This record gives sequence, C-alpha cells and structure tokens, in this order.
Amino acid sequence: MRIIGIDLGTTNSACSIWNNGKPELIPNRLNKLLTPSVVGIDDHGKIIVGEYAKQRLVSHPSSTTSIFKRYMGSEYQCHLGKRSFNAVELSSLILRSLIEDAETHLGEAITQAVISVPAYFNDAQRKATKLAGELAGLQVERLINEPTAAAMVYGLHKINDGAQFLILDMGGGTFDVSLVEYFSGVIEVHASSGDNFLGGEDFLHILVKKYLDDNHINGKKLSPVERQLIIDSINKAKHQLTFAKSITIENAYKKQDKPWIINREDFANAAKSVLYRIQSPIERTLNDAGISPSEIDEVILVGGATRMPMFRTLISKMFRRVPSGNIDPDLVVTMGVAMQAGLRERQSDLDEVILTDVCPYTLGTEIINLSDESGQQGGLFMPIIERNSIVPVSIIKTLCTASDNQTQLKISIFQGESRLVKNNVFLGEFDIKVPKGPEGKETIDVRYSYDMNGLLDVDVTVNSTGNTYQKIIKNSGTLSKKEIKASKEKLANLKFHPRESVTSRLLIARAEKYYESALGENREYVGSILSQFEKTLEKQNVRDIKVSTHQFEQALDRFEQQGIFT
Amino acid sequence: MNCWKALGIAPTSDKFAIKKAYAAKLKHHKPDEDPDGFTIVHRHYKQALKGCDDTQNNRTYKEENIHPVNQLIHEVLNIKTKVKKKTENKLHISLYFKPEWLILNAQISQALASPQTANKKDGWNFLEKSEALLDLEFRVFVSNYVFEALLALKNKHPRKKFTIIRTLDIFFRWSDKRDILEQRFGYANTQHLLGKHIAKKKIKQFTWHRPSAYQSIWKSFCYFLSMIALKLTI
Repeated sequence: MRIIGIDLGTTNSACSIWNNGKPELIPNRLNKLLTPSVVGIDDHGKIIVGEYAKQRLVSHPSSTTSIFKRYMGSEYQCHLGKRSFNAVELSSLILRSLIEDAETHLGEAITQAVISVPAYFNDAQRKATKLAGELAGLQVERLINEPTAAAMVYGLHKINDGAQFLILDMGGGTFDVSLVEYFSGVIEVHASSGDNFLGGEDFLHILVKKYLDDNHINGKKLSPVERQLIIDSINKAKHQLTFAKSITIENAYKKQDKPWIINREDFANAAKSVLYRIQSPIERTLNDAGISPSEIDEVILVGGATRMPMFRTLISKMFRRVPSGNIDPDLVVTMGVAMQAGLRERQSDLDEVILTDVCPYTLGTEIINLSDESGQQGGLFMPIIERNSIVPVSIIKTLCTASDNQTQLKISIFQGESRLVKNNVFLGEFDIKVPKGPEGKETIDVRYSYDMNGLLDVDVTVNSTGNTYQKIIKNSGTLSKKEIKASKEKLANLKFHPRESVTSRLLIARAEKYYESALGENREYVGSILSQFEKTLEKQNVRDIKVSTHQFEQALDRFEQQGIFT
Repeated sequence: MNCWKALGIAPTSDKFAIKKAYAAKLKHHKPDEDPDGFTIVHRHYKQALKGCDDTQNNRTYKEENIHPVNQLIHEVLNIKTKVKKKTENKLHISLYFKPEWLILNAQISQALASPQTANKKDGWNFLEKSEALLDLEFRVFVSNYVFEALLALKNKHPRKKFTIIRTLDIFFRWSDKRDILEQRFGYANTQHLLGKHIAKKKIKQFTWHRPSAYQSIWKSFCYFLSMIALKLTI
C-alpha cells in the first residue's frame, strides 16, 4: 500500500510519491503538476476542481470558490449555487481530485496520505485539515509542517554537514519561518514561527485596491463578474511584475478610461506595510534559537510569493546576502511531503534520515489572577508547553482549587505568548468536578501532550477520586460526530465532472472568460469560434474533436499572446 | 543518568562530537517509532550541549561569515546600558553599519532631547528612510536602544504623555514581541512604556468580497419582503 504526499495549498495543491530514492511529482488530468485549489459547480450540478474551476471563477463567480484554506477551522460557509460548503468539505473535494489523479497515474488505490500544513496552523486548523483528509476517504498518516518538508528536501542535498539554514515559506495565504540544522542525517528544527494571514493573496488584494483607487472605481458597486475580471487581470500583472519592470493594463473594466501603468516600485511602496510584517516572525525565530543572522549558512526561500522581487530585496537587506532557492519554490514542499511519506513507508533509502520538529507556539491554561483587583486584566496564562519545545512532548502540571468548598474547576486551553489569557488564542475548555474541601486541598494533574502531527491532547486527573477527563473542545469550527457524518453523506452524493472531457471543458471555460472581457469584434469572434467548437463536440466524432480542440486551443493562445484580453 | 554515559561519549565541550553521538543514538530511537526513548535521548543531548561554551565554535567554515564586532557600538553599550550586559553578552553588530549608526545615534539623541521633541512625529521620519534599519541585527539593536532611551526619558518626566510610542511601536513592532521585551527589560518597565492593556493591533485580515454570499443575503431579503407583501395583500 503506497502513501502519497499532498501539499494542500491556499492557491495551488500538488501531490507526489517517494519512488526509487527520489520524490516523484504526480501530474493531474491536464498533465500539470500544480492543481489550483479552486472548487466549483458546473451547469449540470457536478463538482469541478482545479484549472477548469479556476477559469470559471471569472465567468461564474457565484458557483465557484477559492482561497478557502484561510477559513480552515472556522465556521465560514461558502455558497456554491444552491449548496453550501465549509472549508473542510471544500478541501476534501480538492483532495479527492488529487487522489483520483494519483490513482490513475499509479494504477492502484490510494488510502493513505501525508498532508502538509503551515507550521503556524493552530490546533483547530490542523484538526480541520486531518478531517478533510478523512472526508476524502484517506487515512492521514501524518501532518507535516510546510517549512519542515522543504527543509527535508534541502537537507537531502547535503550541502554542508552541520549547516544551519533559515527557511522562509510564503505561499498564497500563510508565512512560516523555521530555523533548521542538518547534521549526520538528522534534520533538526530549532525554532519556528509564522503568520497565518500573510501571503500572496494579501499582495494581490493591495494591488487590486490600488487599481480601484487610481481609476476612481467604487469597489462595492462592481458586479461579481466585473470584480473577478479585474482580480484576474491584476493577478496576471502581479505575476508579470516578477520579470517586467512595469506593466500596463489597457482595459480591465469598462469604466477604466485610460491605461493603468503599474511599476515595481509603486507596488512595493503600496505593499510596504504588509511586506514588513515578515520581520516579526523572523526576529522571533532567531531570538528563540539564540542565533544571530550572520551565523546562518543559508537563507532559503520557499513558496510562490517569495518570487516577488520586493520580497527578495527585503530579505537581501535583512540578512546582507542573496537568498537561495534553487529548487522550484512551488513544488519543493510537495517533494518534502513525499519524503515524509517515504519515511512512513519505511523505505530503505531513507533509513538514515531522521526528522525532529518543534511546537511553534506556547500552549497553556488559564489560572486565577490574584493581583487583578479591578477585574480588567482577566485570568493569567500559565504556560505548560513552551514554544519551540521538541515534539512529541508531554508535560504534567498540578493545579489546585482556589476557594473553599469549590466543586468545579474550569480548564481553559489557550495558545499564545501573552501573560494574560485574553490576548491569547482560545482553543477549548472543559469542566472538572471535584469533591468539596478547603482551599487548595483538591489537586488535579493536567497533562498536555503535543504529538508529531502538531495535534494537542489534554487530559486531567483528579487526584483524590482518580477520575480522568479527556479534552472536549467546544471550539468553533470543530465539527461534532453528527456533523461529520452529515458531511460525509453530503459529499458521497456529489457527482464529479467526468475526467475525460475536462480538456475541452477547460477550453470552453477559457473562451467564456475571454468573451466576458472582450469587446466589439473580438467578442463576436470568440463567440463564433466557441459555438463552432461546441457544435463539433456534439457530433462526438473523436477525430474531429481532436483536430478542432487543437485549433481552438491555438486560437485562444494567440489571443493571450496578443494581449487582447489583458 | 549521566548524560555523557547516555550518549556514549566522554565529557567534551565539542559541540560537533555531541551532535554526532546524538545522531547515532537517534537511529535507534526515532521520534515516530519510540517517542519516549527519543524524549530521553533529546533531554541528555540538551544537557550535554549546555556545558558547551557559546563563544567556542568548532565549526570553522562558519567563521568567515561572522563580521568583526564593532568596537564603537560595544563601547556605547557598555557606557549607556549596564543592565543590558547581563542578558546580552553576544551582541554582534558588524563594522558594516558604523557610519549609519553614528548618524542614527545623533538623530535619535536629537529626537529624544526632551518630551516635546520626542512627541513630534516628523522628528522620527529618519527611521523610515534608513536603509540600514532593514538589516535584522541592526534593527534589533536600534529597537532596543530606542526602547531603553525612551524608558529613561519617561522615568525622567513621569507626568508627560508620550504619544510617539504608538508610532514607534508600529515601526519596531514592539507589541508583536512584547513577551521578548518583557524578558529583556522586565515586566514592569515594558508595561510602563507600552501601557497596561496590550494595544495588540488587530491585524486587518484579508477580506474578500464574496459575491455568492452577498447575493444569497440579497435574495433572502427580497424573499422576506415578498412574504410581507403577500401577508399584507391577504
């Protein structure tokens, strides 16, 4: 039984497997390595995933959705047509599509997987990811931190025994920092930190805002289609700014009266406040590892957003050196996940590799704040697992009752670095019953166990009675058993778009997108070749379809190159 | 159990030898397969590393990376910040930024001459303009220097309000690393400067106009209106 590695990203996802001593990336149905994390429902009520759905984001914004990874572990519901989905269900649809591709490619059934998560994902977000895997019919063997996965791939290249490197991973939605040391086959993560709401999408958002402001367009008055059209062309411009110094957008929206020119410097200035947010997690990581920037051997960039010239410039200035990233930043995490999958399969060629990771944030509980007379501070935070402790870790702390004849204790679980719980992230709580007695007589043992997947388990033992309690998180976003069952049934009833016709469908979606954005003659022309193509499809002659698909694709490519539909 | 015995080596301050022994032990106690054994080995490893002197670095290839320590800045540190010495004994500020620091130092002293000058936002504009402040090491150094100088000024004029703290907080991201500052300058001092209530700025999270949700709300609203209209007609 093979275990596949899946990188479930905010904008793109990919999967891979450990084969003959190296990671093998698995192409999807369109023969691409990256599958856009976009889910939609087509006109016949069938589920579509990936590139096809991405093209339909423009033409059918109300039945397509993206960037839902940001809502993992929250109660956010997304409406696709008449149905509504939460982020877990949407992620599981992506996973299902990836598995289908992997099964076709490998020719065997896949039931086990290793999935990557941002290092700074909290407990609820990790549980949600694991659940998404389970809903897709997978047994999730391990959740691995994205920068750690990338570190494994770079560690495999064995640049220097004893080398320390800093991994900076900025994807579509999250930013992670990890300090990793490599020696004698051991990949040791020393410290890790991050920001869960900092990624390429934020930069896109800034650029869209700049576009709207510069052209005096009221963003609230745009229709969904118009909005997506603008986002789509701005996104393209953002990507092109990596190579070009300046980009001109002729007409992304009908009320844009003159061409809009954006150059790198203007973009960098507008995005400064967001970009500079990377400083805090980097500083914290180095502070925790007790290392100065000059002691780092290499700064490695991972994730698509690190391609931005402004990101690279800032990093060079911060570390006084040129960062490296000689492996494709979009795919390196996927390769690392495959390596972890290989480790789980106990592949002999990975026998020498050992990976140790840390818990990136402090986990603790609330205790009574005696100095707080005014009641403004609230409870104090008692750390139980300190941040950057090596995992797996299990720590027991003893707590006692705070007043006479107390019969109940509330154990609240928090994550964060502040002294006061109100500034930390609430993870869950549960009530413990204790026998009556004088203050401080009854004691309980609270045990926090943080496992290799980054999942937290809390159990409490009342010492006098010997009763034990397991954590029942009343957290928003964590589904109950009943809800999980309902989700499973809902997903089982969904029909997927057939794999075979996906190429032609993708072309049609592309043409529809162009039809939306083009005007005048071009619009008519696209309309005519589109209807011609659809007619050919209806005849169901295999050879004709093949020929006209090719022609149709070429025509669309030509349009793209001419920049008619920027 | 003695950590050296557990690692199977003679007591040494050679970091690399300890790491090698640790790696060899880990092969038999992998974190996935034997979590308890791994935890014990790791504890011994940490214990063994504690004995190593930080200044003695056995990895020769690294040395070329380390910039020479700037004497001048160390002098400044020794004179002005005696408390700092206890917690920070390995501050490497390279020669690299000597000219920048001379200028910045003059500008900071000028800005911090009195509470009135300190509260002038324009007086701090030089921070935004300084390229050198993007450097991680230099930035931390200047951030701590300003924090301490501001603390001293506040202690001198306890009744004055320092509105500039907000601006500097945003620039140096003090609220983000409040726990680190608390460790360094003490809880009371940090609270004195940054205020009791943590002004943790809510990061403006990414907002996406979701057309579908918007439409469905609008639809349900229309439905609601039509229902009322229906009731009224009946």
